[in-house]
Amino acid sequence: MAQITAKQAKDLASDFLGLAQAIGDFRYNHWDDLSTEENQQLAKMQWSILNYGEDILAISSTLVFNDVSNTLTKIDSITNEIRQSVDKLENIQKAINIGSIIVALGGAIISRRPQAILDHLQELSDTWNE
Amino acid sequence: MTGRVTYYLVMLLCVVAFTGCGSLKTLHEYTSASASGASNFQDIDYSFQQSCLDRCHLTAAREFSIERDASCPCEIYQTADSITQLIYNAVASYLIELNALSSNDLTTYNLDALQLAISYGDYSSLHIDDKQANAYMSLTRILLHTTNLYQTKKLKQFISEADPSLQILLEKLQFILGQNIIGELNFKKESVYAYYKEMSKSKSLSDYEKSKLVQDYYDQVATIQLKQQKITTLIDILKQIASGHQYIYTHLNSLSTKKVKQQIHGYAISIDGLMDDFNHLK
Repeated sequence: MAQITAKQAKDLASDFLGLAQAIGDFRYNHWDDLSTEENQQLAKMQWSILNYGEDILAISSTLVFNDVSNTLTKIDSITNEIRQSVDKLENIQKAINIGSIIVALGGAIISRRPQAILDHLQELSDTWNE
Repeated sequence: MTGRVTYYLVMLLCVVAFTGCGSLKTLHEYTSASASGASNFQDIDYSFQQSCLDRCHLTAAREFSIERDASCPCEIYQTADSITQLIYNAVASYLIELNALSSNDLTTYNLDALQLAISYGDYSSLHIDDKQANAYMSLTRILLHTTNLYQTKKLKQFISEADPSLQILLEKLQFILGQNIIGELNFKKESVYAYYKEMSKSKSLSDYEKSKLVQDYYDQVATIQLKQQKITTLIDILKQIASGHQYIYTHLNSLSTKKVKQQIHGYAISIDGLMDDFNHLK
C-alpha cells in the first residue's frame, strides 16, 4: 500500500473538518426535531470526526520528516562548517589583538614609559587568556 | 620612487578590499534580520501538544468530568512537535551562524593602541614621519579588509551550498505552521463553537447566563484568531527569508552592485517590518 503523504493527510483532515461542521449544522438546525437519542448519536459522530481530524493533522506533520531527513543532515553539516569558519576568524582576531598590543608594548618600552609597559603587559595577559 | 609605487599599490589594495567590505555589510543586514525574524517561532505560543491538551480539557468539560490527573493521550502530538522543533532548530542554527560569520565585529583592528604607539614620533634613534605612519595604518586596514574578503568568500560558498536545503526546510516549516498548526486552531475553533452551541440550546439557562456564554465564546474565538494571525505573520517572515536567501544565491557574483545591494536591503527591511507587525499582535 502506498504511503500517505503529508499533504494528503492535511487534505484528509480538511475533509474531516467539513464533515464535522456539516453534521453540527444539521444538529443545530434540527435540534427540536431530533429525539434525544438521535441527537446524542449525531453528537458522538461529530466529536469523533473532529478528534480524528486533529489526529490526522498531527500525523501529517510527522510524515514531513520522511521528506526532510536527508536535508536536515545536509544543513546541519553546513552549519558546522560555518561555525568552524567563525572560530577561525575569532582566532585571527585574537592574533590581531595580541599583535597590536605587542606593537604598543614595544613603543612603550622604547620610549621608557613604565606605566604604559605595565598596562600593555596586563592587556596582553588578558587577551591571551580569552 | 619605490616609496611612491608602494604607496599607490597600497591605495589600490584598499579600494579592492573596501569593495568586499560593502557586500559584507549588506549581507550582514539580511542575515541579522533573518536570524531575528526566524526566532519569532518561539513566541507563537501554541503547539500540537497544546492543541491536544485543549481538546482533552474541553472533552472533560463537556462530560463534567473532574480528575486529579487528567490523562490525555498526546503521543502523536508530541512527536509532531519534536519534528517541527527539529526543522526549526536546523534553520535557526544555520541563520545564526551565517549571521555570526557576516558580522563586522568578527574581525576588527583596534587602531587605538597602534595610534598611541606611533604618536610618539621620536623613539630615541627611531624616527616615524607622517608618510610612514599613514602607510602603517593602511597596512593594518588591509589586514582588516583581507579578513573581510575571507568572510565574504566563505559566506558566498556557504550560501551557495545551503540554499537548496534551506528552501526545502523553510517550505516544510511553512507547511507545518500554515496547514497543520493553523489547521489545529481551526479544529479548536470548531470544537469551541460546537461546545457553546450545545450549551446555548439548554432551556435551563437564564438570560444572563446565555449572554455570558456568548461573551465567553467570542473571547475564546478572538484568542484563537490572534494566535492564527501571529502564525500567519511568522509564515510571511519565513517567506521573506527564503526569497532573500534565494536572491543572494542567484546573485552571488554581483553582490557589490548597487541594484543587488538595494534589493538585499529591501528583504532585510521587509523582515524587520514583519517582525514589528508580529510584536504588535498581543
